Amino acid sequence: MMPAPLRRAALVAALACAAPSLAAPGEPAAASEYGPDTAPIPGVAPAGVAPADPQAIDDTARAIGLGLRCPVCQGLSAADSTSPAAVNMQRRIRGLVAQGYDRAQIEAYFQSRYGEWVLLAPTSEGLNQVVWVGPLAAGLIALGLALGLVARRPQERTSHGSAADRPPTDLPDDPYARALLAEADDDGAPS
Amino acid sequence: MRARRGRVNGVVLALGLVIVVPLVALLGSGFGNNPRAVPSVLVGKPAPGFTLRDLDGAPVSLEALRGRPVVLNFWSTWCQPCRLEHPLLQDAARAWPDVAFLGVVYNDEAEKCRRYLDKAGSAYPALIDPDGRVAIDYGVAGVPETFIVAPDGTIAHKHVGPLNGAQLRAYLTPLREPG
Repeated sequence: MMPAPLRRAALVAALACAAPSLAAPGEPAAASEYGPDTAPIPGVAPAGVAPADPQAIDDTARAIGLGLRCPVCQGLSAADSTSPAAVNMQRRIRGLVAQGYDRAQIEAYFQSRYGEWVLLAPTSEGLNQVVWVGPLAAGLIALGLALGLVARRPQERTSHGSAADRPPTDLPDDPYARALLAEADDDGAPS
Repeated sequence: MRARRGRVNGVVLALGLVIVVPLVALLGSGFGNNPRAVPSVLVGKPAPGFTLRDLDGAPVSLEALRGRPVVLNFWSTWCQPCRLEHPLLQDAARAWPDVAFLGVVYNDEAEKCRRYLDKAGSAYPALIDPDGRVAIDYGVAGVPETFIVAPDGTIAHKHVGPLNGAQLRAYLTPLREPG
């Protein structure tokens, strides 16, 4: 087995050799029947570098599409829906990834056109914080209540003498249960 | 027994109210909203520019129409409400030559559009939108959707669903030159 630094160097060399064949310079990344989707986001320069191979572009585009709402569906992401609108949207995402736009830029682009509604996970800003903090707060309150009740129980039992509250009989209150017990007695008795 | 029950209920009641009242208020305030109506973030913003080809292949660019109000209508032949508003838009385009009308075809085939417009009338260009890129640029979530672009190039209104004459007049009157 090669030592780690050597292995990394070998990997880098292999990648450098493979790179030209993976991404031919000037070749459009996404081609449709209308031609390559190379339209940029107006007024925004790509923040990152496009992934080297088409598979990585697909994977990145799908990951981003999973977080964006298909505009014509009910609660489906752009990556999951097969509707033409979602397919177009996914194609646009792929084209933007291929140009080197990063996830935040692409999400901001769709948000600027469709509104925050297009994000399947709401941002944690403003009133939306209730959605993120609310359940945690409710859980803590419930835990506090439960602990408070448990801590108070024994004291109350001794001070009020709960045993004295019970009716002085070992027969259950429920008439049905009483009937059952009586029947059991009859059956069990040797005749 | 009775005293204890009363006291516990008081605490639970107060806590319950603290939790339930804001929830009910939130639900109550959202109850009147149409869950499908998504407020457009584009109103007041510059209309995204485009150059598309009409059914005859002639390029049409939005930027070239600066200085006139533009009615930008996303439609398709498979959309019944679009067919419903089609005569109104044709009539309006003929009646108001100072207003530029543009139709952008949404998820449809050029041949079907050509056949439909031959029958139903065509007073303004129908533009082919490859891959729905312009539809995405305008945040179109369905058809028909109509954008009213002011002469300065900003989006004045977004209308979801079929237009009627009164709505179209109300949108356009403030944007048209007096006279």
